[in-house]
Amino acid sequence: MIEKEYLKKLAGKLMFDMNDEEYETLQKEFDVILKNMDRIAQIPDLKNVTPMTFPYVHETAKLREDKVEEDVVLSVGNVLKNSKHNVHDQVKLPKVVE
Amino acid sequence: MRKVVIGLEVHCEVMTHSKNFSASPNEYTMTPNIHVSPVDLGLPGILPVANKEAVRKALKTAMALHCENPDEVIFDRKNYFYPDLPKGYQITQVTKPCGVRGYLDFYVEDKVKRVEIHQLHLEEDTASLEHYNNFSLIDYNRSGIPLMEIVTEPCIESSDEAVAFLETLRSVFLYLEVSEAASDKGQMRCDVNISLKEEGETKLGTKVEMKNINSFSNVHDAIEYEIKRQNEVLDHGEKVVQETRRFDDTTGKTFSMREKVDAIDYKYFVEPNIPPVKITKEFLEEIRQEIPPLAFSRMNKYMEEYGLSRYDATILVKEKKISDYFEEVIKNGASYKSASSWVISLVLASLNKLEISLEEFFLTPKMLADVINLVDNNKLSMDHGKKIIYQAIKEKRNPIEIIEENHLEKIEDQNVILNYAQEAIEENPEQVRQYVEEGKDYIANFFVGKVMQKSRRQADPKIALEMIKQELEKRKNR
Repeated sequence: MIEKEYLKKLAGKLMFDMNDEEYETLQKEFDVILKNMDRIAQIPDLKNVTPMTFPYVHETAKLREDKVEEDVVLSVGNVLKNSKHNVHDQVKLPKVVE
Repeated sequence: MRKVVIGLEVHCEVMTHSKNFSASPNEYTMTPNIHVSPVDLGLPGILPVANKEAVRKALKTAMALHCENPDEVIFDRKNYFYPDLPKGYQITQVTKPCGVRGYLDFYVEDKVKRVEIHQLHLEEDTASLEHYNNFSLIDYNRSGIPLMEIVTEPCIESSDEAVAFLETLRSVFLYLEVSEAASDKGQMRCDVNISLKEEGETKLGTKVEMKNINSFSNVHDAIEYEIKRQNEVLDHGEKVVQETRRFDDTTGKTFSMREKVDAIDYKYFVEPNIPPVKITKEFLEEIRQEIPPLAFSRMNKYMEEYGLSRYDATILVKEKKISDYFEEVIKNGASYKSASSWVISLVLASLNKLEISLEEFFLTPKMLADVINLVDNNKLSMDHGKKIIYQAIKEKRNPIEIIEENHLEKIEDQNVILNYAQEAIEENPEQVRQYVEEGKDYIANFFVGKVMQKSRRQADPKIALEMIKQELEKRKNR
């Protein structure tokens, strides 16, 4: 099982922390993930196999034409809806640089 | 003497109507949070779709930098946590960037320097943060604006080379019209990697990274400060620490931000929400056709073919519109040297004085060429030519119209000029005496002045001098 201390170290690097219960949940989830990784590792001769990112090629995949669609633009109120502290229509947070 | 090794990472916002992965506007504004869509905020359920114009402009810039282009567009996720990145990852390119292995040639003083380009990739900008005494504010307008990053090989050897490279790169952006590249709007920013190595040493020294420097003069000062600092560290027998430093433009010093041991692992992986899109040869060819001759090649042409000085050529290629204007003046029949001197001394000076751009400038290249041609063919004095140009600009009128209306064409008819000369001589007997009896030859110029006055500056001064001397000499021999 993945060490809780190791998860804490990783969380620190990503600049967040969790409570003990959450770490335990994560440990259990990682347990499944790592077991699956082990199973994959048992498949022989994978060295020259290119990782398959997409299951099939989208022959019709296209780029988007460069047009503004006003209806996708959120109102300032909606932009800030998930934030508890707002000042001058901006999200307020503790200072992030010294 | 240690050698300086510099590599640059340049970020430049791409000029498009909409953002890189959403249809919200890519438009500079001071009003916060008005150009934001759910995709830009990374809300659950979003589906980013790549902007064709942003891809086209990134490929175009890569081509202009002589890079190899990929056969398909693929984006990757760069994962890190910071308040300016609401999704928790930035969509960028690692697997197949828009360009790899290119180069850019430019002048440093009178020498040509080549900087190798490692890669050019397309990504998205972050939100902007404003820092106050004890809090920070986030404005998401900038989130998702298309951003090109150009990474050089570590082959730049001084602050002057770095600045010359950045200036040339900026001119590439402007010539290609892919970006406004205005550093005061944060549209062009630069990270500098710098290390020192002993002369003859093949291995690179420990590098220090300086992030987000927003002006060319700050890049220059940051490099100079770092060279001095690293030299002092090495002189004391100490080791340079591998770290990220921040340049503070108020003190002109760099400060440590974080050491390499704390470096973030970005856990790159292919962006699963954007399927790969094939880039056809036709698409690439279409883009290639749109690339105009750039400043460096124009400059070489002006110096080698047109015989202009490096100084003048540099001024003329600084802006594509000016260079285009200059070339139009030539197409309308003006000689290279005259076109160059009139554009620099009159057009650029007028633009500066009037504080307007070339688009707002009344005088067309054809109008300027017409006046230059009259002056060069001795049909109009230089003096009149300049005055007419200024008048034309001021009154927004065709200079030829002003010339015709005021009968300002140069008088070359010897009989007409002779009449003026004789009149002047008759009216000024004392000066004639000085010339004839005292041998004061320079008095001839006094009469040229009189002829010019009488002819409203239309007489050809060379012919006038000839006529005056001829008349005065006659009196000597009487």
